[in-house]
Amino acid sequence: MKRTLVAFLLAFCMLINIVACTPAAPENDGPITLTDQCGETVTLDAPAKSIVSCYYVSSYAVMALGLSDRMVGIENKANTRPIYQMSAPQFLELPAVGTMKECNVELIASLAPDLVIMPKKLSESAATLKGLGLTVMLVNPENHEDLCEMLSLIGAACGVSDMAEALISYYDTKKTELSALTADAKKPVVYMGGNSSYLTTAPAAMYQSSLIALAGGTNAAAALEGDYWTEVSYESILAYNPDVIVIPCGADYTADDIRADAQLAALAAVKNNAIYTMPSGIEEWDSPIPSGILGAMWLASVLHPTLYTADAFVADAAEFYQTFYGFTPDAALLK
Amino acid sequence: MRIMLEVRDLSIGYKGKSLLEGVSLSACAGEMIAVLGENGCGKTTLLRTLAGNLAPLAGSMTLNGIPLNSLNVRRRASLVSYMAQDIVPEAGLCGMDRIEMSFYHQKGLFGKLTHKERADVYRLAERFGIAHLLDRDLVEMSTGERQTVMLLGAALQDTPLLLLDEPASALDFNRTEQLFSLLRYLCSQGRTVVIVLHDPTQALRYATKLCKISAGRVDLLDPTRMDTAQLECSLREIYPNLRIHTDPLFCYTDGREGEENADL
Amino acid sequence: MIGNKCCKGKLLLALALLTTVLAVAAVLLGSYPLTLPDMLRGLRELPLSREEQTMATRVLWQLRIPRMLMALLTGAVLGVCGGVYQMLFHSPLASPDLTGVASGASLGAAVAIVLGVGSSAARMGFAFFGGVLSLLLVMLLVRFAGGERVGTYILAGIVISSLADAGLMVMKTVADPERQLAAIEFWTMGSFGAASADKLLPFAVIVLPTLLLLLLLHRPVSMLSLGNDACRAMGLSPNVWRTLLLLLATLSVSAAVSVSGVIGFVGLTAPHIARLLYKRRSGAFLLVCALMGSSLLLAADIAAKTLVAGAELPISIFTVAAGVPVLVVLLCSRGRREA
Repeated sequence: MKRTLVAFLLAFCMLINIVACTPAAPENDGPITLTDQCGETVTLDAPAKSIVSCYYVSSYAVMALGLSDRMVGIENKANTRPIYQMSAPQFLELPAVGTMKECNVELIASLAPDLVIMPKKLSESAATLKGLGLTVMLVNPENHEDLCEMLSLIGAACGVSDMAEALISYYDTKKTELSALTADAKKPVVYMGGNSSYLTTAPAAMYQSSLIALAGGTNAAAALEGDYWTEVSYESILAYNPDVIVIPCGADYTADDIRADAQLAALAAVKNNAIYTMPSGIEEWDSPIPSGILGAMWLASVLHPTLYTADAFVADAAEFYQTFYGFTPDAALLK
Repeated sequence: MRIMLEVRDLSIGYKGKSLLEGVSLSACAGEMIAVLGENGCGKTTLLRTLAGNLAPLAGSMTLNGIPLNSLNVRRRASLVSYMAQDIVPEAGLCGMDRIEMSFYHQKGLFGKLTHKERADVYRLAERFGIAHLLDRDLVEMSTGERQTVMLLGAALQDTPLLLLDEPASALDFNRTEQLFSLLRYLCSQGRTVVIVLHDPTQALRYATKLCKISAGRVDLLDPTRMDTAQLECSLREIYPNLRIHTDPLFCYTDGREGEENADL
Repeated sequence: MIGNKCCKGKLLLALALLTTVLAVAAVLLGSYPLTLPDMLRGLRELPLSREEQTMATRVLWQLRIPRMLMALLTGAVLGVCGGVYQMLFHSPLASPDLTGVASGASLGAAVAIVLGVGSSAARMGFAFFGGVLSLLLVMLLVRFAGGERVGTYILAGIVISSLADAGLMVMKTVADPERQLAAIEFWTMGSFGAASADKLLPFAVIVLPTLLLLLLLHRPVSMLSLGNDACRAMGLSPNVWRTLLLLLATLSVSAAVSVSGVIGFVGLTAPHIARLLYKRRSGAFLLVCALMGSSLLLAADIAAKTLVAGAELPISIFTVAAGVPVLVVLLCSRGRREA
């Protein structure tokens, strides 16, 4: 009964959002003043009609907010991100403006964008671009709150605040739902490895740890201090004895590597073959990106298959992409 | 004649290890002192110390009453010029470059030679037959040609005291004659020359005094006040079996080689 | 002799012309389309405020021209310092990095990156400091070793730059591989891609006077190259002047490296090409080194920014590509003449 009610409320909210998401009427004209995620003031005379994004996360945000048509320049190596091909193939034809280490300032200037979105790392180039008179917004989505803030900022700068709100309220609804779902269930101990090696893991302060908590699990390394990937020894992992091992999207190793590692053979997760690789065929769900909520949802379906089935997840994910990104993903990529 | 160069109780050596001690000598303006001694006895060290390239361990050196070590480098270069046995030549510097450097103490960092000075340089170079070497690279010259260039540099530095370390070692016969003729001329102008030589004949022919270094002792000899036997005796410390023939003046080694080699 | 002077004069003129042509080309070429009319308009619009200028003018004055000037001056610095070091240390292998400037500056930058020092100005400061510190350590080591000889400096330089390289390795191990390590590697590669007007000012303030002084002080350089004894005998205090020249060279090279990273090879090839062309190491030799270095680096930078449209390639590839063929051609022609 409770679940039906929640599902109904969810559907209702989503219906409202879908309605609200149809081609957004431009908001009231007039100068827009914002403070970006580095504390700098960003001023636009009117909502931005052309955007350059130097960072894949902000490119994802541009897609999720329905602004794909306004993109005129994108970060390098766009062809390595499968979502572009699926949702906005025109991105692959756009000029490549740079990487996280250096961006081509002249090229960006020649594209004459209304708004340039750059990561905090490129703040130096941002200053140069501002010196040329371009409008630059610096973003730094390190966690979920920052992600939501980034979405609001981009939404406001482009006159699609309602799209941003829709996305954020989707997150909130899903989070509430997941928490309610797993509130009474037993929380398995989850060990999530790093990208370069499974001998690194995320301490409690990191995004990945909160993802595990949201999915109804307990981070094996919750007791670790620090806010960045930390190296752990075999002994520590054996001491954690996680119920489930999760391999992140960009990992250099596979589940077979873990199974083959003799030193980990004693782990409950290995014995029960509870090693799962987060699907990465579309986007990197294990980092704070607009579709990051799907990471928590996927993990919830893995940890609590009876409460939230894999099929239910596939359906929700497909709906998410259809709603916000305008395409239906291949179901095989969602497992 | 007034004494120009005065060395008193000088101890010279490297890093606290003395090579020669208690060196005392004096020279008047216009004198040529020939420094004689075996290889390694300290001739070069003595000259380097007088030139200011090596710090003396004790004692004093004065020039016209001015203590040499109290002078700064540039002032000292205007009083003392020094010619080493050879330099490590830098490719790309020509003879004229080297000679221009001798004018540094007068001209400073940016001064240029006047027309007259340039003409003097050419005239002297012509006399020595090296006018064609003035714009040749130093590394492309023979040792003797390089020595001639350095000699000209030392002479043109226009200093009251010249220190020359074996300047004739690689010179051909003609140039050797020209060298001594030049030195004679410079002495007649009132300059003092201290020159390291290996040939006692040259020393006796051209020098006014001999500075003999042997067994850690330095003696100043005045050949005009010694007879031939005394000279021979004194010089035999460096040149065993030396004989001096005074007319014409030449020195030779008395033939006892047969006896020495019989033991081999 | 007169004929020689005329040849040398012509050579200087030709090199100055080459440098100017390359400088103009460097201003005209780039990712932003700038044409000659744009340049002329840029000249007219210079006194206007930023809001009144067109984007092309802004790109010209804030990006293009500073980048060209930085490449020009850095090339001159590397050429001159390479020439000075090759003479001071009697070694055809000497480069401006002999006293460990580049290694020290790289270490300074790596320390800044690992410590998380955010602003790029602070990073540049660390790098500059690291470069100068390496010279001071070399001087201390030489003093401590008690040697005055040229070989002592070379050995001390090897010691200090090896230490700095080891320090850099430590920094790379300590650095977090996902964020900082890439930044360190990238910094050490050298590039003018981030050149801008506000970086030009502190760079020029240090480089222009030191460069000028080095060009003017060619006489002490020549005298020092004949050895300590000869130098002192002619009235130049070798230790004082050697220290001064090393300091001037290190200041300018450190400034260059801290702004645009380590750019190799120009400091080694430019003096050799200059020697083969000018034949003398006296007089205007250092000026020829400067012009040669500027030309090489401008050519390399043009290639780095235009070869692949919209992309910025590592400039060190092109400093080698520009320098080596010229060197080979000159060597061969010289060999043929001597044979």
